Amino acid sequence: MFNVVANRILWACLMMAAISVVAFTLIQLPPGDFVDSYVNHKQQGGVIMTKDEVAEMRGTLGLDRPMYVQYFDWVGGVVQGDFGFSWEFRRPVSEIIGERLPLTLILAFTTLLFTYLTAIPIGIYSAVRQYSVGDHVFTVLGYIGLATPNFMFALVLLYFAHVFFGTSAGGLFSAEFETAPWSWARIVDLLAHLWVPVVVLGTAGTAFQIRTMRATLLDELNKLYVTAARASGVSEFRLLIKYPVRMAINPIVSTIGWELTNIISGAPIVGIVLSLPDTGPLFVDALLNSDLYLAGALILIYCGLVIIGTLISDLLLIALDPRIRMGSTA
Amino acid sequence: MGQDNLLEIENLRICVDSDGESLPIVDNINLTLKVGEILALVGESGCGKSVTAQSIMRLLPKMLKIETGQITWHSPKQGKPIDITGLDPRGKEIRHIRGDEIAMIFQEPMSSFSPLHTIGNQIMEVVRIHRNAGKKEARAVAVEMLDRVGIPDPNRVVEQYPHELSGGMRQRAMIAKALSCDPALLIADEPTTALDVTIQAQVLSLMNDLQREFGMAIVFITHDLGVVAQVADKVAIMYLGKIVEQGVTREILLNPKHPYTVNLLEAVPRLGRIEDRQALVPIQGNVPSLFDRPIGCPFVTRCSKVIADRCDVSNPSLSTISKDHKVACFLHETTERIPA
Ligand SMILES: Nc1ncnc2c1ncn2[C@@H]1O[C@H](COP(=O)(O)OP(=O)(O)OP(=O)(O)O)[C@@H](O)[C@H]1O
Ligand SMILES: [Mg+2]
Repeated sequence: MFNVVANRILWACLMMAAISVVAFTLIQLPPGDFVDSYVNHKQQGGVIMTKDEVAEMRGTLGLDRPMYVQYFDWVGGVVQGDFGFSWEFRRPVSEIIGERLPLTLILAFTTLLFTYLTAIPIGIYSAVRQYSVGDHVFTVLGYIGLATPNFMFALVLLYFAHVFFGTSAGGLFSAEFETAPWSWARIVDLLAHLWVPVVVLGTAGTAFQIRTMRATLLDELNKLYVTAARASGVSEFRLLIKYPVRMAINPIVSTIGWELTNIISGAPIVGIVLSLPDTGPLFVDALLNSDLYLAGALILIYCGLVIIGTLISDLLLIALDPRIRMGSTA
Repeated sequence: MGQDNLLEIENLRICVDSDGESLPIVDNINLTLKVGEILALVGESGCGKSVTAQSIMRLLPKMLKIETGQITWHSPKQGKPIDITGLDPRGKEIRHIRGDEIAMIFQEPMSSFSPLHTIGNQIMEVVRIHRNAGKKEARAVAVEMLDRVGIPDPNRVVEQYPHELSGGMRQRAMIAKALSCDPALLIADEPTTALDVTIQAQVLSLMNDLQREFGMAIVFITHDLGVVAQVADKVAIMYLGKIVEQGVTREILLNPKHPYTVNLLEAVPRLGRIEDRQALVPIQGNVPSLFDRPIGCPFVTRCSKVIADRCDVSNPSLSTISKDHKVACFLHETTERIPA
């Protein structure tokens, strides 16, 4: 048991190291570096920089050193919580991210929670009452949810929120709370806004998980161990929750990491459409401006979240399934 | 009906709904079982043995319905007859009977335990439901039962998961679970079919021993007449959802009347016959599909003694040929008919 857990954690760390190399390579891939886009920018403003000035700028920023030196320099800082300097914002990256990351985390994990808390009960209902009116309704809603692109869904919700509630559904705070310090009222205000991006980001995943839950549970309900438990006098509700639902939860749990990936990769677009003050729009800007350290830090954090999600689902599975816990292949 | 009858099944007919049409899967089943008696239900795959057994505990899958007939359970614990066919299959009354008064073991020991719960947990569950017992007490019962079915080191096995046990051990654990509340009737649906031969023999002799010790009646489902000879007091031979011959085991095996029973016996390997170099005779043809039931006697398509214009026209009903022997065949018709 200890071995299995240690094994998964070790793998997560190795993955993280590999991801840091990939992240660093990715941000180097687009042609030109920050200095190039800076020079371009100046040129548009009518200022021509000399070759020497450009080279000197590269020197001060350390961009003339070999790639691997730059990489280790960067990773060394990251390990100590120093993600480098954003040239665009002229502030340390950790400061910028520190302001926006909590909202991203709140958004991602609320969406995850919303997805599973909605999908599991609906999936159970749909399986137990197969072909009932409710089952058909959820099936139709599910297909609509799966087929609608997030940005479209966001626009539709924006429109309806405006027409029916007279509120702007964009952003995560009302104007008066935008820069206010955290307080109970601010949290309530956040929740009043949060549901829009959560629903937008979570619907496709919820629809998918309902399908999975329904299919797996239908399968489990016909298994012999269910009949055997029924034959020993267990009541129907207890039977359902203790045996087939427990079994059907496992495949659902194993998709947590993957579901988190979907949420995180969908978030930037939704963030822009709904003008959310989280890291999504920041990430897109950083990529457009070749703001190397900011983009790198965000890629690393996003990948880190995905790895943490996978680790969570692995650890949950170990807790839930004795066959995995004991390292058997069955 | 005799006073010491435990279970009476009368005119049982179970149908499946397919495309709005309702097709009988088993029909006209009449069985009685006395306290402590072992009845074997024999027949080829698909003839309706499991369905008959499941109906006794109202465990039929959704698509199958008891259409006519009555199952009466003379509950020794409640001291009164209970009409099982009249109970709600999800209701309280039947749940009191399941696991406590009537228990069941299944063909697949691999899948009849939940893989996510320990053996102990699943045995204790039955005890706690029916005995109002605390955790400690239930655990003690579980350990004792595992010990009685011959599982070594029961204190360790209660904490183990099903995948840690071999098939034979799991079937023993299943038997322990079934007997944990001392039921008056045990339904064993091919309990040894999935096990290899030496383990089969062990489990069979265990069941024989436990029957003597606990005194429960058993409905033993099998398609192996060799097993029937070893364990059963009475036997009912089923074909395509009907009982074609039934009676006391000795009488049926030594003096079979129905051509199907005769064929079944010829298909059993026996030592004496091998020495005489007599060949085993497989039964010709296959069981017809439910949806394609022959007109007349169900066995007419495979029988070697068909009476023309008789067997392919009408269906023979069970008639009593001696005190211990009934058969449904025109070759052995007597005047005293049992009404169908
Ligand atoms: N849920 C179901 N829906 C439709 N038909 C069913 C269902 N369960 C069983 N049947 C049909 O009922 C018939 C009898 O099945 P049953 O399982 O009782 O056979 P059996 O005698 O136990 O066979 P085996 O020796 O293979 O266990 C079969 O022809 C089967 O197709
Ligand atoms: Mg069967």
